[in-house]
Amino acid sequence: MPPGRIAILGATSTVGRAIAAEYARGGRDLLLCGRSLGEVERVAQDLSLRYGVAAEACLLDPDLPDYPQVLWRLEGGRPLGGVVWAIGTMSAAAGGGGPDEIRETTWVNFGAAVAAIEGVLPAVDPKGFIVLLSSVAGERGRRKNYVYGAAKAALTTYGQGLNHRLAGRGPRVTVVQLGVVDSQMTWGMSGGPAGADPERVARAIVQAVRAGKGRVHVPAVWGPIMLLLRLVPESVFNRLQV
Amino acid sequence: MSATQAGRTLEIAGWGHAVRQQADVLRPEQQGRLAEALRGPGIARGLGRAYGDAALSQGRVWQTTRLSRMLSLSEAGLLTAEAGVSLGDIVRTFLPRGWTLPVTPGTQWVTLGGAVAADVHGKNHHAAGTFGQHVKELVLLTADGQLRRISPEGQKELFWATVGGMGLTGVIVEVTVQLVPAETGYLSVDYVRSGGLEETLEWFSGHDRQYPYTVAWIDGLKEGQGLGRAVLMGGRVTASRELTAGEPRYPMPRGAVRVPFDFPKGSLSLPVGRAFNAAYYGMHRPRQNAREPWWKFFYPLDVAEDWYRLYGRTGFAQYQGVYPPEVGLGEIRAILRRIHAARHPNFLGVLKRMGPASPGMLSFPREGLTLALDLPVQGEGTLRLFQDLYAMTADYGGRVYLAKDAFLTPSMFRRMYPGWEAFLAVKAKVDPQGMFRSLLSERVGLGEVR
Repeated sequence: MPPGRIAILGATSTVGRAIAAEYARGGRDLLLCGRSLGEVERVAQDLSLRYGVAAEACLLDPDLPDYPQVLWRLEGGRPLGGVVWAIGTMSAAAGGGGPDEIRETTWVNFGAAVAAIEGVLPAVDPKGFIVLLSSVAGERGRRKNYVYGAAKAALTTYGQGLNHRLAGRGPRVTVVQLGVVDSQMTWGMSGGPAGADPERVARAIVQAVRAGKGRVHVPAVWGPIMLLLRLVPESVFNRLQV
Repeated sequence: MSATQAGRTLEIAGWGHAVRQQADVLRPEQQGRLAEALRGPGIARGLGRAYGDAALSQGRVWQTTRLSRMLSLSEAGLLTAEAGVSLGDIVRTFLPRGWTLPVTPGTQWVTLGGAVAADVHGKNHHAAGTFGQHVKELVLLTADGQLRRISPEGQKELFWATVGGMGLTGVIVEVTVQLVPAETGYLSVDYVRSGGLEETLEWFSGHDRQYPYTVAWIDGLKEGQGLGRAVLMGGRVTASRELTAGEPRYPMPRGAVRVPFDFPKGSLSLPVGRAFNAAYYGMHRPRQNAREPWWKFFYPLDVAEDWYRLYGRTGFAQYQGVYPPEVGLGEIRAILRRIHAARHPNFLGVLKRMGPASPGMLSFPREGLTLALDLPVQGEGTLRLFQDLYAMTADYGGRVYLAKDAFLTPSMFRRMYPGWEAFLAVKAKVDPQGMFRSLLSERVGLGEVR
């Protein structure tokens, strides 16, 4: 793996923080980005104290188009070893909502990711990696969160295309199709399946990146689950309470 | 990124699982989010190791386990961390660098915030005092949404109301605690068996000065001649020159065993208790200078996660009392006999002599003997037994530990904790609306602010 820092975009999200910790445990220096600088600084302090790595906090606002340049400047022209996109939002209106909610859901989960990755791409070591945290919600639309799911499906497709484009010539792209994780996002949703432990999720993601996988389900059990769910005919699916 | 965060309606329980309560549980992962979630009434909760109802509420519960970022360690060993960091996490992180906790309770699965709120003590209480006495500064989120930096020097009253204050002054957000150097991660332990209570108490009066860590496991079921027989343990940190070449200086444990389901009712009955206690007594032959890794000495029960399940669905309660120094043989004997008279099974009795009291207004420890016994909850009989034990304890001039308690009444509470008035005076100032309340605070009459 190339020596540059690893940038975590969304370092205060549950999975973002866990991935950052996993890389820090492996001795990697980090550039941690998030919307709330104070909170990101706490994560940076925590990881440098625990693992003795250098972790820098940086402010990131996915609504501002110039932050890729900010990252460039922070790196002083040195290439990043990898970039992890760990930002997402699921509002109560993830299955619909008014124009503002729809704009936020599709922008944060898809548009902002594309803008960010396209922007930082030149800053990533060609032997490095890019991770996109997508979701199994993007594999089959369902009534509870289909707007969110649609944005995640778009993100998955974007990642596939990027992987195709960069194959053999640039950083490797890993699209992670996350199942339910015990996170800030899922905490308030009652009745769903128990979420996976973020630490284990992070370990599986880092392993998949190391193995150079283009697409991976984490936890792995979601692979067969989604395969089955995709195979269910519409007439049956529409009667399911999923 | 969504504007408001949702709580989750969960049935939660104290560690004894005898008290359960449905609550709106919030688990913020960012400090800023905690302040947003503050609309009460409610109580903060860490890893849920309070045995009774101290971290239960009918309203909100703020679970702090993901506010677990360590912020700094000074060269002098002063650690600042968020309140959701567990004590086990601290030992694992800093022991390899030669630092450890000044005081630790019998489980590592306690958060910093919980350790401060209950002002926990450990096997070195006679020498080192409580956890709170090593805390240099706290950040407290109070009912008005303010983050207050409090220390024994600045805002002294609020500090000592918060240390031992069971979360009732606000949510503890950050803790700065003085770690102590650890030469190795081992303890050299002397095991002594006493044949009865008299011998047990004698050992404590003679050996406390000799060992920084002392504790006795007591057979709470033995009657007659051997009543109060115990395995006495005196420990000190092993010096590095005592290690053999190539031995790791700071060993680390492997994973814990899980208890996968609730044991059926009556698993821990009187005969099972007798057999267990006899086996434990028999197992611990007298030894000198036996070397134990830190987790075996400090956290023997952590070997099995979820061990409360051994007690089945109805759970268990703990009686832990502390009595003034003049209380001795006769009174402890009377307490054990009261339990025997009830034909009530009990396990894991612990006896220890404590040092001087902490300045915490509601802190439990005070100079004298402390006795702790786990009792499976078996309906009315158990409740009657507890009320009798409370009355005896109060008559002796003692008190019971709020972090362990499930049944104490307001009048008993006031007899045992003369600091309650001073505490309520502070609470009235920082929490005039009574935002911070738990089932415990309502039960013992700390809920209503005058």
